[in-house]
Amino acid sequence: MFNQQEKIFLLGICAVLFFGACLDLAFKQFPFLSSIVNVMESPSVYPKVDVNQANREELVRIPYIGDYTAGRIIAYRQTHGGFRSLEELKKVTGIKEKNYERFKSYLKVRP
Amino acid sequence: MKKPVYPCCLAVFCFSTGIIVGRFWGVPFVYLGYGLLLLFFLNAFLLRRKYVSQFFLLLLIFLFGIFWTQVRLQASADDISRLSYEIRRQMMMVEGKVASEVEYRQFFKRQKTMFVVEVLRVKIGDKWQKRRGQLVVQIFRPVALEYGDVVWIEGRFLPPFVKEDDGPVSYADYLEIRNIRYILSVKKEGKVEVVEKGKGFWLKAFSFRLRQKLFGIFDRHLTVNEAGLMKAVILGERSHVPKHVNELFLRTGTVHVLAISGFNVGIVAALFLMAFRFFPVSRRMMLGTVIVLLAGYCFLVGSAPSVLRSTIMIIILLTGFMLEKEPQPINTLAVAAFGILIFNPLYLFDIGFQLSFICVWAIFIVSPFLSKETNILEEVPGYNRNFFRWLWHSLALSLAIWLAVAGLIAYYFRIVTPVTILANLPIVPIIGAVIAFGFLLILVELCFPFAGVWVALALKFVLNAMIAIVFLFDQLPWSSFFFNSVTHWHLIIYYALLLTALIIVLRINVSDNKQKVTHTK
Repeated sequence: MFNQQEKIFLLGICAVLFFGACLDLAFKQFPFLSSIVNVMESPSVYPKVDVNQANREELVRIPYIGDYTAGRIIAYRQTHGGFRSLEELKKVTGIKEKNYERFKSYLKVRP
Repeated sequence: MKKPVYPCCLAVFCFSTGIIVGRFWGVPFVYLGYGLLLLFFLNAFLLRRKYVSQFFLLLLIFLFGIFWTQVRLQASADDISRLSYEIRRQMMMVEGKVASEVEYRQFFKRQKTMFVVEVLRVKIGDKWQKRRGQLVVQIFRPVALEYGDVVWIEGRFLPPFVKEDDGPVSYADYLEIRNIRYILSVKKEGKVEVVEKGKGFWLKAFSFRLRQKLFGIFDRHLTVNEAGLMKAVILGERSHVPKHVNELFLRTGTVHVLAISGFNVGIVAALFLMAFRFFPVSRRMMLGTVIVLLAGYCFLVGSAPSVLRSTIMIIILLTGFMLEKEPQPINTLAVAAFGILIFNPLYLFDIGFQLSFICVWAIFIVSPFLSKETNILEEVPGYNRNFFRWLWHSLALSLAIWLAVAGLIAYYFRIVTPVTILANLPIVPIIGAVIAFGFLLILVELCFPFAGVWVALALKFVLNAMIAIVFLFDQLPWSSFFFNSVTHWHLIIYYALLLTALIIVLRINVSDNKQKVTHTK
């Protein structure tokens, strides 16, 4: 009735539906699993750049950081010997709380 | 002179060289006309002289490349870009037809409306003048418009912005390739009035409505970020991809999976072919229908150069199956390039076009040399040999593609990503699953909407797993390097070295084969 390729095709569709139904059941039983699967929404998967190591080009690539802000960050780093925490970025001239909130997920401070 | 193995490749090379000369240097049309006529008659008279006529034919194609590019660059007398500076700097009323999908983008706290308008008339003083050409319109407020609306727009002409950190290709260059030279900027209080509705091409209007319907399916079942990614992978809408996800893919050199290319179109073709197996139709009928559906898909996703390239190649391949002839892959690639460059010669300078073609060239030419099996594989026990063979071939393919595109990526994006060679191994099969699941979701939503949620959950799982893997590759040390600037000289030297290495390998290969033949004799 069906040849091998057709069987694989239909089995594939069934497998996807079965897998999805299992996930549906698992998410209903254990709601915390949903947040584990939703990796894309988590700030932990943002491409992070070490604010103490990054050069101008790397900083400029980060959304909401322009050439001016990158220059100010590098200047601050040079005069103060680096950042001890991400919060310290707010001390850089021109970086306000709102801007900091926008790009902080893209930055890290390596101890 | 040896007979060229790939005649179409030589023709495309000459045509492309002509395009470069036509864009950067230019030749007066009078000389071009005389040259083309002379070469045409020389070809006609020397048709029996095999090599001489071939040489003149290639020269003719080269001149035709210059001519075609210059015709394309030449704006007509009533083109909108020909308005004098004095007129352009004033506020102006433009009558035009919305010629693209209308996009609403976030602009600080507000939304802005963006679309392309095909100019019909311009009001200068109190009089309307007929004008032609296209403009990008930016209205700094949300306005309800759709494709095919005839509108009156009051705004100011601006040249496209060129930023210092744009790299070798700016937004202005991108628009120039698409024959757009100005932006019509409309402030919050600028007048926008719809004069007439439904004046667009019905097929295009239908494709935009279908796109919106398909966007809706992803929006209903997935989060904003996930839906944005799926819209890029299935429908070619890159503007919805979240910035952090795009950056992750760029830093691992796997950003190619987010653009619709041969891989995606190939999967679509395979899915169509598989689905048609369940219908009682003849083989020719099935292949013919798939060709039409593929052309429709290409139209639906916006006909970007990479989509055009892959669609043309797959259509030639399927036509070959229909006629029971096996097409030559390199010549097929050349035919696709020729077709796209005839349609718009300036696509030669499009990043997508360059990456797409060089990538396929690497798959056909470079990869077979790298994937030649060594004796090491023979020592692997039988049951593991297939796995190692797959791994070896996949690594060779990934390395070949990376070597081919690394120069262009470094030049345009100022980044080199050695991690790509490894990252492609898991990402390419996963993206294949993502595309298949995406199409399955559309199919299930249309036929059995109650089951859509299950397919969406499976898709969500695979999609997030892919992001997690890309993230892990990005965390590896020395995964990517950033450069201050890469000049076109670096690019030329890189590709010259790559080509030299390839020629050397080719020669060694030929001499090895000759030795083998003499030994067997």
